[in-house]
Amino acid sequence: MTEKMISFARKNIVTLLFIILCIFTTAYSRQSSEFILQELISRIIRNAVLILSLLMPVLCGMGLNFSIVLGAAAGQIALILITYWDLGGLPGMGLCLLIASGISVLFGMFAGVIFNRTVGQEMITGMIVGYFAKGIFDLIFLILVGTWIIPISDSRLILAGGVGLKNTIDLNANVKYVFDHILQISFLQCLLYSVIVMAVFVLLLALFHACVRKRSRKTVLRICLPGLSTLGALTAALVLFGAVPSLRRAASYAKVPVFTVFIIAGVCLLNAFLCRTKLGQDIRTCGQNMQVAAAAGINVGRTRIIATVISTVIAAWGQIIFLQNMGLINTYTSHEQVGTYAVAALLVGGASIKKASISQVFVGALLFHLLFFTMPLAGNNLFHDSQIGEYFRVFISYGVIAIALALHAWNQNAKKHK
Amino acid sequence: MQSEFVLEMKGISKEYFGNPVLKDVSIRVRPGEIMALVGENGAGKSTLMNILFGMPTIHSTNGFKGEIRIDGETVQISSPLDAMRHGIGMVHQEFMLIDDYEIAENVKLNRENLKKGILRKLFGDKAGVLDRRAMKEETAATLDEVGLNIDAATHTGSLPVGYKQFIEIARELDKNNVRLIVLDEPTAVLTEKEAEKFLQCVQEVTKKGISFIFITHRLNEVKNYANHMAILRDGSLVGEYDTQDVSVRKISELMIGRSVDISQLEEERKLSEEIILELKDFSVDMPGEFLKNASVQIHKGEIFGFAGLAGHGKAAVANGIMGLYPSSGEVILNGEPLNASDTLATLSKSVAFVSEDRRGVGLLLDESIEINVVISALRVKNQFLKKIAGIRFYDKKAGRKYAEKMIQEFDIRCTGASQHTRSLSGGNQQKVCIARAMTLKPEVLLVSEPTRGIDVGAKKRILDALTEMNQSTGAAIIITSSELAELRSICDRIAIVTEGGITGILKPSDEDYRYGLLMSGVSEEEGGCV
Repeated sequence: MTEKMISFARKNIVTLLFIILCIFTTAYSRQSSEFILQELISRIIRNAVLILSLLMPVLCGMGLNFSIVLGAAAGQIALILITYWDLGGLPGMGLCLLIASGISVLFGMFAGVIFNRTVGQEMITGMIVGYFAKGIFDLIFLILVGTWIIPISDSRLILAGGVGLKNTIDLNANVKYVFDHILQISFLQCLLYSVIVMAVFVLLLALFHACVRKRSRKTVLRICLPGLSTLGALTAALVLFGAVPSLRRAASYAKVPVFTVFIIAGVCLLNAFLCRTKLGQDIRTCGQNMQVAAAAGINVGRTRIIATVISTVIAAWGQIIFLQNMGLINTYTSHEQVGTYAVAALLVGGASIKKASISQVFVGALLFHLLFFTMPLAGNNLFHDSQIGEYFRVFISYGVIAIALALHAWNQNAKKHK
Repeated sequence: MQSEFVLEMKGISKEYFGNPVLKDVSIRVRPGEIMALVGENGAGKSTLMNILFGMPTIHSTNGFKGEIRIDGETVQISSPLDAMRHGIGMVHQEFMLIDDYEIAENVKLNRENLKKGILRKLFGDKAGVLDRRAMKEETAATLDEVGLNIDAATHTGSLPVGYKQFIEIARELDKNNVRLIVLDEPTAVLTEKEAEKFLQCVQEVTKKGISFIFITHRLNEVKNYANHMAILRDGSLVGEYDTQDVSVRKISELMIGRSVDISQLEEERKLSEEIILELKDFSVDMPGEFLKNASVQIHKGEIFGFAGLAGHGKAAVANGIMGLYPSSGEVILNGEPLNASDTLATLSKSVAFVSEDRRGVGLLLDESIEINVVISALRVKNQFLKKIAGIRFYDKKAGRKYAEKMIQEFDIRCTGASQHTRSLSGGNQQKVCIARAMTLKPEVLLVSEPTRGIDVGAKKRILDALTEMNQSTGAAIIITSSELAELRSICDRIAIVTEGGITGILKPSDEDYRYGLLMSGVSEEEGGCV
């Protein structure tokens, strides 16, 4: 028993460490539960798709794809374009997603081809490709835009000198909250509805398998078990947030953007569906063992490129969702840190460079971003200097990556020596 | 037209860069039979199979001469895909299985059953959803055929090694058109029991008309299970028999066959009674060359050989003693236990080592011959040093003089002692390695593959140098080599290492077949009765 607990702790050391840190910083941030819950919800929703974009390359054995920076840049280019064309609202955002997808397919192919030449070093290559892409991005949007090569003149976008985009581009007019404000409900309502939807879903599933497929009671139970346990967890959460007064206040105050949640759920479903297709199986096989895959006649190079493209396209969508929530683009820096933060969050969720799941995405997003905004506040309260907290959070996001990678290598070695 | 043979390979010859590796080899396989292909390492078995599979290594080196017929029709096989199309399957020596997959997923690898659906119609098969139930059902049926009673949903990694081989066979059988399966040393990783079960299963499958080419070193298995056999030696076919017509002894004679002229061997030397090096239950964890519980005593002044096939563990002996790979058991040098993991201590106790990995471990490629010759003595014995103001410096004059002496003694072809070793030929590099080892004036010299990749003249000089040193200094020399003939020409005794253990110690004058039997893992009594 104790042995099991030790091995569990060892496997999840990064996550456990973060839970402890989070409890500590949340307590010392001395914020109201309303504020913390609202901030947490909006941050998780804002970042979820970006983190989800990392899953496919991990499955394909390419490690954590730092080159999602390319996808983020594609998303930004699309947003800049629709701002220039003065489009907005849902149709504008639809076009934006379409353009971003097109550009990021090209970017993803570029990254994928390079990854195929650096097999085994995809992570560092991804990082360098990200820096390279940033250089190209800056060249185009800082130096070329406004000259005869890309003749654009628009006082909202271009710097006063007539050349180069402004450092920040305001998205308030057309893009901000387009998805988020379609339908908003309180967190408490959200929990309640989820419980109802989940219950109906499980019931229908059970009925379908029992009456239409004529499965035995045991099989039906087995099929419904994941749904049932989710239902249980949701109900427990509902009871918790409904019963404790302070939590109840927070939960009725905090708003959940329903449409954005649906987009995220869609991306999750897409991921789960891909895993069940032939393509998903090929990607998994490549990730397990490239030699075996090649010997079985799978086109390993092509499969790896497809995985990279999928990742890059999802990252582009993720960046668009992120920026429509923020309401402004930091033209030259918004995409810069995307890779590092997404990777750090995923690792905090308990993923490794070999294994990552959708649930780890959300656990990671929760813990990482909770720490991210409570730490400066806690630093301010403890040391009367928010800079210390600020310093710590940068330190921590890189530290997490380093520790998680080192631990992974360590565990891998330990396994080998057995 | 139904031919008598499912496969005929006629007059196959192949050269690699002017080196003939196959000379006019012809083999034939009947439907539903097991044909064994035996031969030493380097006899040409793998090349022959590579040709059959149309491997890229063959076609990127000017192809081959000869003809391949399947069911009597001449075919061109220019890629592994072609071979598959003609119904030829391969069970690899290293498992081509994914441990984290279910058996069904492995058997159906890249031939997964897919459900029908709109997305599949729109975007092609890649978007089709896997039909896991059909995969499991079909796999279960195939597993039944090979007589493996196991759930198709079991994780492959949790299976014992013996079962994995069955799954590889099941995968080949699951391909609808398969007619001929090549088994590349399938039993090498199996225990005797497992091997027996596996081969019975293979025999069962032949009843369905599927043929096997069975590559192995274990002659007992050939005798008991194969219908027919072909023996290769040095790239030529030296015999083709029905297995019932030939004894294991005869097979091993043909396999080794490079008759050593016993009259040329020197008289047996009287060995000192004193034991200089003893191994007790010595095991070495060297990847690809495991050694398990080897025990042997080596006398003072003896030249002792370790022979055996590649991958059977002979290379692990020297590497283990020198601490290059983790080992367990006892090493006793001059009556004192030796800590095998402490390489520097071993070196300082008058044990020297010439590695088989000349360019990797053996030489400082970007240093001069001079440095390469003296470096070990300088590090271990503090030779070639002079003191200036209490600080020890390298004595360049002494080093240069010594190196020049060695260059002359060994006839190292070079521009001078300052030439970098990278630009020397293989033979001359080896001479530098041996010169360095001798500089240590060792009591025990371990030499691994001293003549690998070296031309004939240099070979002789190196072997002469070793015997000369043995005679003049009385040092014990332990040689590990794949060249049995060479070992027999200079060693006092030779240990045969097979499947990680010492199966016997022979004298150079012992008959060929005894060597062959020990290398094939047949104990002498067993082989003798046949």
